Amino acid sequence: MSARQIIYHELVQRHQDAVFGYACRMLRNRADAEDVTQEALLQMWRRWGSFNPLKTRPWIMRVTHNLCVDVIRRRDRASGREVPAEPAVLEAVPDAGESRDPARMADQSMLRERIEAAIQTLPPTLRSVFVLRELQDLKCAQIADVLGMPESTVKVYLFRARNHLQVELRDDACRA
Amino acid sequence: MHAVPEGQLPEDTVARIMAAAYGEASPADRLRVWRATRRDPALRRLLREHRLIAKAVHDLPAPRAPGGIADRIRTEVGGPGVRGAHTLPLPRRGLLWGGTAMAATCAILLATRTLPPAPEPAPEYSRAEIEEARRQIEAAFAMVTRGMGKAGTAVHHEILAPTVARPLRDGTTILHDLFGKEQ
Repeated sequence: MSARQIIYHELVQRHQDAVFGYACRMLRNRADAEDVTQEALLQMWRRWGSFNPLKTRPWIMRVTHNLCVDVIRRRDRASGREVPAEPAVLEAVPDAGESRDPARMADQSMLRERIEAAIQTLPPTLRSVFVLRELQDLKCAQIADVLGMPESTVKVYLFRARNHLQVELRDDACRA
Repeated sequence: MHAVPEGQLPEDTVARIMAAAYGEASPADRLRVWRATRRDPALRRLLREHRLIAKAVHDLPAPRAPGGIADRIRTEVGGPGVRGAHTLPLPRRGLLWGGTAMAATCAILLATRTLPPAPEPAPEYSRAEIEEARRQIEAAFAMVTRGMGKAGTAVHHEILAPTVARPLRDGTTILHDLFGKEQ
């Protein structure tokens, strides 16, 4: 196996979950997310040399975002509206350190579902900024690079997204 | 200072509260937020809500990519199965490889410069070769002995006889003649 293949498989191993998670949250459809993930990872192989392997995350997220935008546009042309989210598009994976108390587990599971649902209510641009910042752990400058917008705009969108979530989840937060 | 309704809160104050809740505020902003929330229950409640949401968002589990994607990529690109094939993160693997290569190079350079050369392996001879060598040594000693014998004869006859023995004999003859005449 060549050095390029070894490095490529390392990068795939490292980024495939992040790419899939972002695609799931943007597309709300598991099959589409799988297709986008595969295509994004294959583009990393085909366009080898056009990115810095040590700074792959922003590059692969930009590719993924563009593929997601393409899918959303195709859907819009086909149906004229957004696809409703699949209920099981983001199956909850239990954490190792999570409480085993059934009542608490149910609460946590419900809270997760509410948060995922609230994220899905964000408009696509706010959703992409919020997911890249809070769930993919990218810096605002990197998000600006990924989405091709000024950093100040990213900060404004992030503010609006957080505000939107706070309004959506206010009741749950009050109960907690 | 009386509490301000939430809808009329200044945007920069809300932004500072959000930054504090999501763990991005500078120490100075955290201090400002602490002082503001101490005075105003509405701000305190807003900070608490954002903190809870931020914690819940950060605790969301990361979805795992299905293994079928790795299989299709392997088919397209070649190489081993992607998931579980290499477990170390790239920087650690790179450091490990680089460190190992550097250590090996240093060890080789050190060894070539400091260690004495390896001794040549002792030759092993057959019994026939040993016998042949013994015969050659005996022949060599015999030649030396013969040479020494010839040299001794030559010294005796060609050097000692004319230069030592003959003058001694002549001297003795002269003395004998002298003593014989006096008697």
